[in-house]
Amino acid sequence: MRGTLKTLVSVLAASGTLLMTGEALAGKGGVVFVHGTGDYPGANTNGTYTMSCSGSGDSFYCQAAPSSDSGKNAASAYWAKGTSDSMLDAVRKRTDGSYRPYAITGCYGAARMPWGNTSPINDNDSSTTGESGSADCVASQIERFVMGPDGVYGTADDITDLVIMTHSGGGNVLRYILSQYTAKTSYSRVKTAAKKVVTMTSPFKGTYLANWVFTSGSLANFINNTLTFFGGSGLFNDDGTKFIQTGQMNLHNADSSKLVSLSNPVNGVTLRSGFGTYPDAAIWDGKTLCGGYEMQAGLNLLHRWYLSQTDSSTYRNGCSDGFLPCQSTGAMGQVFLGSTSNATAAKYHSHHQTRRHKTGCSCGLFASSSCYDTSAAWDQKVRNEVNGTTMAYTEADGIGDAADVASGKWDACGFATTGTVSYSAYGRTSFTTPGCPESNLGNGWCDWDCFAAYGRDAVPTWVDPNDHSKGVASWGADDCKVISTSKFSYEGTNTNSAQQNYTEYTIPGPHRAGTTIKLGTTSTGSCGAALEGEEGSGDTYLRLFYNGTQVDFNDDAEDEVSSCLGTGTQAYLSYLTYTIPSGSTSGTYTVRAGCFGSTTCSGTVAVDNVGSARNSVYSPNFAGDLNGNGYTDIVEYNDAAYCPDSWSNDGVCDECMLAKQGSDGNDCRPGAITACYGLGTDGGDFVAATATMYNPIGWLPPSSTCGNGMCESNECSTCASDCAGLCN
Amino acid sequence: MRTIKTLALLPLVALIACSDSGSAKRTGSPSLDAPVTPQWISTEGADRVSGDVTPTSLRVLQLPEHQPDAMIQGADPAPSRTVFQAEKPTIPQDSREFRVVIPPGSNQTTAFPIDAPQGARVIVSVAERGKPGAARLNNIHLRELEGNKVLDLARDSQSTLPVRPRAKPGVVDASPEAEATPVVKQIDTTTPVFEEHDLKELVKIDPALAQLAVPRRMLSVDVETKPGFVYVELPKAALDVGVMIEVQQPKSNIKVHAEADQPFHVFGDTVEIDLHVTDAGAVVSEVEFNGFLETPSGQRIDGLTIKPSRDGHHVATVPIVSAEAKHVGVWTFRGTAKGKTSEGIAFQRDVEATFGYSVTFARMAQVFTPMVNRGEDGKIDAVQVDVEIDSVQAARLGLHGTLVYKDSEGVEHPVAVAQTGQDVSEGTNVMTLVFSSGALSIAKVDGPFFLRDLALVSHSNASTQHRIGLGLLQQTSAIKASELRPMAEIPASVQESIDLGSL
Repeated sequence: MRGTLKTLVSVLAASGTLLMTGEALAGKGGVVFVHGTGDYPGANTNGTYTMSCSGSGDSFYCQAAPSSDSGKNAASAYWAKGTSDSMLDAVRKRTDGSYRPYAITGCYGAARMPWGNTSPINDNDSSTTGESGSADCVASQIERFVMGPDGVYGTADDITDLVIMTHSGGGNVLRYILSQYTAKTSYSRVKTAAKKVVTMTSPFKGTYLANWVFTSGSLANFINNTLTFFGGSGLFNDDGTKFIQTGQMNLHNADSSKLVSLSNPVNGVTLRSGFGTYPDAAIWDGKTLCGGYEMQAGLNLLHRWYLSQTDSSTYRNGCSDGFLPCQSTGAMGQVFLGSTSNATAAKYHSHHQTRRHKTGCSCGLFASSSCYDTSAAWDQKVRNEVNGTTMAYTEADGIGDAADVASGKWDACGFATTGTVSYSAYGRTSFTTPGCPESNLGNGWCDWDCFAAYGRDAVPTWVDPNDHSKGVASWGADDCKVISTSKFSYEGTNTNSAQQNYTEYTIPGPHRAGTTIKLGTTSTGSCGAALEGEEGSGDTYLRLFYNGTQVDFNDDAEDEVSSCLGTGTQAYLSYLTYTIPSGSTSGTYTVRAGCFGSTTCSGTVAVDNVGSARNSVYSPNFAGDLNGNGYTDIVEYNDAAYCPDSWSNDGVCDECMLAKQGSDGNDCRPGAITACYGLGTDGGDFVAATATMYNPIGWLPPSSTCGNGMCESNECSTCASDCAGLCN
Repeated sequence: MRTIKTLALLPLVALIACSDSGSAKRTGSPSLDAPVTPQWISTEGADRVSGDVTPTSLRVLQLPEHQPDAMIQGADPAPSRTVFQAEKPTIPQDSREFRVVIPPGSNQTTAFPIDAPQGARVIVSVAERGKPGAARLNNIHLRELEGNKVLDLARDSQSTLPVRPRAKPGVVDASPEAEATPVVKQIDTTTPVFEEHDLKELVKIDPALAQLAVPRRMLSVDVETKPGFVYVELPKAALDVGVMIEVQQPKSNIKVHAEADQPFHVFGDTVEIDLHVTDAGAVVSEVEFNGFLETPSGQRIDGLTIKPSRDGHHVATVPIVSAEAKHVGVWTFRGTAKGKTSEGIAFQRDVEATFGYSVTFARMAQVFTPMVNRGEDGKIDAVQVDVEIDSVQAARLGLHGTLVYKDSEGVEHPVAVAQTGQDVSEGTNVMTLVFSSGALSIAKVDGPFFLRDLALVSHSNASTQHRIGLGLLQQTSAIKASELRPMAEIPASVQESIDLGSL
C-alpha cells in the first residue's frame, strides 16, 4: 500500500534511525553489560522484558527486573556484581575516576536464539507462535536504559553515547540487533545510541562443543549436562546453543535475515573483539584460581579433550579458551586482545575468566598481591576500550611477576616432600618418594618432582621468607626450562643440499652450554624422531651453523636415529640433535634448510632449544616402544614421557600429569584428591647409583586435618579456612 | 499497469522528510538523475549467484503475532577498503572423527575401526547422571578385535599398583653429584605384572563436579598396533544405561567431506548433498554412506536416499515441499561413512552438512532504476532504490541493499549499506532504500555506484524471502565524490569507526 506524504513524514519522525545526528547532542555516556549463553530473565519470566531503573546522573542504573532467585539475575550470577571478582566497576570507571551510568540486561540466552524462532526445541514462550528472539529482550532493555532516568525517549536525559559490552553468546545477539536494526523501533534506538560494541570471546563462527552437544543423538541430554556450568541453567541442549553449531553459524553468517556477514563495522557500528587463548589450569599458577579453580580445571579439560584437535571445518587449530576456538572468537571485529594462531603456549585467559576482574588478582588466594602479568591485564584492556582510543585510561598496574600457589596449600599428595610408601611391588617392600625439598630447587638438576609441585625448578624469592604459604614473588633460572620452541616452513629446489637457494632461520636464544638443539622435518615421528609441529615431504636437508660455521648437518633421519632406518619416506626427511658446548653460547645459531642435491622438497622445521644439561623433562610426546623390542617402555628417570592420555582425569592424581601440563583434569583438584600416583625409588635414597626409579608408585592422600593450611580430601565443604580460593 | 511516475516519487517524498529532520540539507526543489531512462526492471530471470534466494511460489505461512511498528529507514557507510563478495558459497565440511552409540540395554559392546592408531584417543561416556556408583568406568579397556590385545595403559583394578598410606616426610639426599640411573621398565601387556588391587572407590568421577558429572573416561592408544577393528570392553552397568564412544585420530589422512549444493533453499527445491571420502587427498571408492536429516526443531527424518554419483562421490537427495513454519530454518544432514582404503584399511567417519530453508510468502517483483537525488545546488542528497513487493500476507519485512564502487582493476568495494523495515499488507507494496549522501561520502570515492546484495527479509520469522546478489546489475549515473553532500555532523558510532580505522 502506497502512503501519502503526510503519512510518511509522521512515520519518519517516529523513527530513530534516520535522525543520525539529532540525538547525539547531549552526548551522555553509559555502559550496558549483555550476558552470554545462559538464562537470566530476572523476574521477566512471563514474556515481558522490563528493566528496573534507579538513580540519576552518573548513578543512573538499570537491571533486568530482579528476581528473588539470584540464579536468574545476570548481575550477580553472570557478572558477580558486588564481589571482588566483578569487573563491572572497573569497566565503568572514567579517566577522571568517576563512574558511568550502566545497565545489566537479563534475558533467555540459552533457551532462545537471537531471532524469532518458529521451530524451537523447547518452546518456553507462550506469548507468540514459536519463541521470540533473545534480541527482542536485549534491545527492549537497552532501549529503556537509553531513555534515561525519565523513561521517555528523545528527552535531554537520554543516554546517547553508549558502549555495549558483551561476553560469549551475547556477541551474536548484538550482531543481530545491529544487522536488522530496522526490524523494530527498539533495535534502531539501540543502534542509534551505540558508539561501539566490545565483545569478549564471542562465538562468531560457533563452537565444536555445540556440535558435540547436538550430535550425540539420543544421548544428547546427558552430554548436555556436562556443559551446564557455562550458563548454570542446564539448558545447553536448547536453541541458544543449537544455533552456534559451526555448520549453522556458517549459514547464519551469510543469511541476509540474520547476521548477514562477518564484515565489520556492522551498519556503521564497530565491533572490538577480545578473547582468551588458553585455559591454563596449572595448580601452582596463582592466576588459575581467579574465577574458581574448578571452572578452570573443567575448561582446561574440555580444551585438551576436544578443542585441542585440529579440524579446519570446525575452526579448531589447537587454540581455544576452553569453550570456544580462537578461530571463531577472532573471526570478526577488530581484535584488541587475543590471537587466532595456535597459541597454546600463550596462557592468557579462559572463557570463564574473560568476564572476571583480574587486575590485582583480587579473586585469587593472594587478595593483597597480584598474579597477572601486565601484558594480559584483561579488564584494563577492556576498560580502555570503553573509554575510547582518544581517552586511553592508564593506571599503575602494581603487578608483580608471580604470586604462585605454594605447594603447601594444595599438595595433599605430598609430591613436593619426601616420604615412603610401604608395600610389596616389583619385588620390593618399600619405596621412597623423593619429592622436591626446597634445596632441590635450582640446584642444577632438572627435577621431575619440582616441576610437578612448583611448575619449575628454580630458586624462589618468597613473598614472605618466614611464611612460604604466601607464595613466591619471583623465580631464578630454571633447571628444567625449555628455552624456546619454534618452527619455520620452507620450500626448496636445487639447493645443492642446503648450500644454495636455502632458507635460513635464526634460532631464538639465549643459548646455554649443555642444552640441546633439536631440528626436524619428519612428518609423523613414526621412527621416533618427532618434534611438535614438524613435517616435510621429499628429501630434506638441514645444516646447523654457529656464527656462520657449520657445526652439524643431517640429510636423512635414518642416519641420526636408527629406528628411522628403512621407514620409507620418513627415512629421507631430516632430524638432528646438537648439544651446545661451553664457550659457544654468546653467538648466533642458524639453520639452513634445503633439499638433497637438486631435488625439490618442502618442510616445516621444528626447532627445540631445550634447556638444562641434565635430565630434561621436556619430552611430552607419547613414548611408546622406545627400544623397539615389542614392549612399551614405561619410565625413564626424570622423563615425564610415560604419562599416557589414558591417565587424564581418571580419578587418580598423577604427578607426571602435573609435571607435563600442570593439571590432571579434576584428579588433582584441591579438596578432591582421592589417590596419588607419583615417582618412587626402591633404594630409599637417590644417592646410590643403583637406585631404581618407578613411575608410578601409588599412595593415598593423608587424612584431613582442618587448620593445617592444606586443602585436603573432602575439605572443600568442611574446612573453608584451608581451602579458601581453591574450591569455588 | 503501474505508473512509473507515481512509484518513483513516493520514496523521494520520504527522503525530503528525512532531510528536514536530519543532517542532509536541501535547498530548493530536488531533481533526479539516472544512468538510463528510469524504468521498472522485473526480477524474473535475474542473474544468480551462490547464496541467492529465489522464490518459486508464494505460500501463506503461520507467522508469529505481529505488533505494528513504524517504518524505519537508514543508511551507513561501509568498509570501502574491503572487497565486496556478492557470492555466499557453501562451506564444505570435513571430519576425521566419529562416534559410536551403544543404546541402553545392549548386552554387548560394538567394534569399530581405527585406521591411524598413533595418537588416537577414545572417549567413553555413559548416559548416566547423578548415579555415580551404577556404571563406573574403572575397568574399561580398548582392545584389538583380532587377538584381544589391550591397547591402552589405563589403570584398572588389575593393572594398578597397590595404594597405601604414605609415610611422613623423611630425608633424602638428592645431591647434584648423584648420577641419575636411567631405567627402562617394561610392561608386558599380555601378562600384567602389577598386583591385584581394588581401586573401585578411587577411579571414579567425583559427582560433585558438575562439569564432569557424567561418567566419562579417555582411553588412548598407548601401545603400538596396526590399523584394524577394536572395541571397548564395558561393564554391564554401563551397557544397561547406554554408552557413547568418540574416536579422535589426529594423525589420520582419511577425511569425509559433505557439502550442500546451495546454502539456502526454498519451498519445492530439491537439495543435493555431495558426499565423499579422501585418503591423503585421493577419493576413496569403497565406501558406504548412511545418514538422516534433522529438522530445525530437531526432529529426525530417516529414509534418506543416498546414491553413488561420480568418481567415488555419493549424493544425498532431499526434496522439501513443506510449508510448515516449524520447518523454516537450518536443516542438518548427519551421516556416517564406512569403507576401506585402497590399501584395505577399514575406516569410519561422521560428517554433517547444513542448508537453510525458507517458505517464501513475499518477493521482490520489480526494482526501479537507482535514482540520484540532487538539491538545487547540484549536491547529491541520496541515492534511492524503489522495490515493488508482492506479499500473500501481512508481515514485517526488511529490505537490504549495498552500493559498491569498482576500482581501476574492476574489483568491487562496498561504499554504503541501506535498509528499510516496514509493515506490509497482503498484495502489492513498495519499499524504498535510501542511501544517504552522508553515508556515501565517507569512502571519498567516485561513482557510478552499483547496486548489490539486494535482499528482502522477513522480520516476522527471521527468514530471507528473496535475495539477488548482483542486484539486477543496476547502477547509478556517474557521481563525483565532491558532489556528495557530506554529513553535517558525524554520528558518534561513525566517528568511532573512523577513529578505529574500520571505516
